[in-house]
Amino acid sequence: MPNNISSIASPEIFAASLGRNGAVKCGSPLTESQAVAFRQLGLDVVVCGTNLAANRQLARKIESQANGHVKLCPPHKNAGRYALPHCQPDPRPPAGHTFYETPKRQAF
Amino acid sequence: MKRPSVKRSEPKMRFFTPELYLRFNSEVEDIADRANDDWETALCDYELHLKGLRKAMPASVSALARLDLHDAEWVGMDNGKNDAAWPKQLAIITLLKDNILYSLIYQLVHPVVFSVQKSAWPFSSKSKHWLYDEIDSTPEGYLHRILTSDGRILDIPFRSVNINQVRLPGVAKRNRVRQIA
Repeated sequence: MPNNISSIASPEIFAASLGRNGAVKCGSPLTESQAVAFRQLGLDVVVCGTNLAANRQLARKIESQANGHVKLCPPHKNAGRYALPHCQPDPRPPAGHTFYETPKRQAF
Repeated sequence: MKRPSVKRSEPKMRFFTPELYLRFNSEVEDIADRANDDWETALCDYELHLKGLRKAMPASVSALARLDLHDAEWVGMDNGKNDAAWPKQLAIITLLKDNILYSLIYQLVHPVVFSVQKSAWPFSSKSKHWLYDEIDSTPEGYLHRILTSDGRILDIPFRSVNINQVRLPGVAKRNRVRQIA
């Protein structure tokens, strides 16, 4: 079972990659500007923290700065048991997501 | 196939509703927080619902119920609306996700029904894609309900379904396929 890093106190941003069963894996830590650049390139990022509203706000801010109009998508059952909600451009492109943690769903 | 004698009701999602989705997108944090909890409840409720159907489900319907098509690009739907020669019992939905072209081929019990587009839907109707779906049972077979990114719901009452998946070779060829579909 992958390690859970949701004990981080305030929202932090990481490069993200997708694993099995919808798992979002944290890569290198990113500044907000770097995260915006990642998203403009269609790469995935994830916002990690213990406060849902703070995570969501930061994810929305990153996505809107990167790509304008944003929508939030909760995970579908079939995305996998570890899937996270995410922000995405509305409409696409680019590809990719700004994922964010919730009390019940964390990145790895 | 007989035309239904009773007017079909407006399609409605049962678990993953447009209203819940809109609340999930609220910029009022309390509303969005509650919607997050409500979504988790909807996921559990849907899982229980599917568990009740699974024993009697044919393998193809079970496979449909396990497909993750969230964010799949809606390439098109063929149901013979403008084609008198089209078999009335057939509907085909074509989707593109992660370089895989999906064809969902339904043998219908009744015609498919789209909900009326809501004027208050705040999201783009460009680049239509699949949002969420549900499967339910009916006396005549099954019902696939699909919420698309333009806020409309599609009801597909079907007897059986075939799922075809084709991995596409590359982006340039994918654009050619999109034009053909």
